[in-house]
Amino acid sequence: MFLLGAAAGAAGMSLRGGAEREAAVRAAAFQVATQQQLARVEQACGAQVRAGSTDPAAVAGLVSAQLRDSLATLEARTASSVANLGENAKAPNPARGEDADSEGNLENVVLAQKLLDDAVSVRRWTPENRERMRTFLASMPASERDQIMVSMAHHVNLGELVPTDSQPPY
Amino acid sequence: MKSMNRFMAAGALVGALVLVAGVVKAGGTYYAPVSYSGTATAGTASGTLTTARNSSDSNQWILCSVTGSTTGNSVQCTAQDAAGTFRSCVSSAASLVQTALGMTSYGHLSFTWSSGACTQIKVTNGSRFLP
Repeated sequence: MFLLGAAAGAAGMSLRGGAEREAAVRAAAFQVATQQQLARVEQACGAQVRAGSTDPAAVAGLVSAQLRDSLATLEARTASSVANLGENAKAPNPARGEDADSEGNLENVVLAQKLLDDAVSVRRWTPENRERMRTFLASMPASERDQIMVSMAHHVNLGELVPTDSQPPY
Repeated sequence: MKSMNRFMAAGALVGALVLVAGVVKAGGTYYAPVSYSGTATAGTASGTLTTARNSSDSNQWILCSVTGSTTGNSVQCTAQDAAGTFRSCVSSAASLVQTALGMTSYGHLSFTWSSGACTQIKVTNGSRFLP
């Protein structure tokens, strides 16, 4: 999750799309693994047919085994893809004057965005939400923190985020 | 003797009230409830802190808070009017953070936002605003 958050932060995209970025990374990994899975199943079935086997149970067993292998591959590739993106994203960009310390904890960016999205979906901002958000905000890059807080303010102004205890939302 | 003391005390009290009333009148004390102009996307919130604090509806408040961190300072201003409607803005602009630091426990505060970002913060302290 941390690495995914790092990828999301470095992408420089709108924080609003945190969940979308996560879904995109997973979807890409799933697509690659699925294509490879189909190719393996086709190859294996073709070999069975060429060998003259017509036993449905044997074919079913083969397909099942291939699916199990593919699932394991899918999980590994998903983790690997996310990790690679995260490692690339964590590299500081000297052109922007970044250093390793200024990066902060990018996982909190994704968590904070999810917290905000969830709260907006129910139009409620509870004291527990506020405390969790403060924790997330306390450890994330300044630019991302500013974007999330401005986004919060905008939702407050639109009436989409209503503090349940009539206290400031931050 | 007792009645004389009571008479003098009452006279002193009336005198004090008259004096205070005169000061208030002469000073032109300014009260303003929390109010908004513009829209939810771009507008301004304003009000005097004393008025909000002492409002009978118990809903009103207006404030700005400044947060300092190792990665920079930011200011968050929020208000709630008598109807319970919130308005808020956030900025890490040094000039706005500095302005917010000029607030006292009374005075007049206004902040202007655009899509949640503060574009202006105005702090007014002066003799017209009683603590």
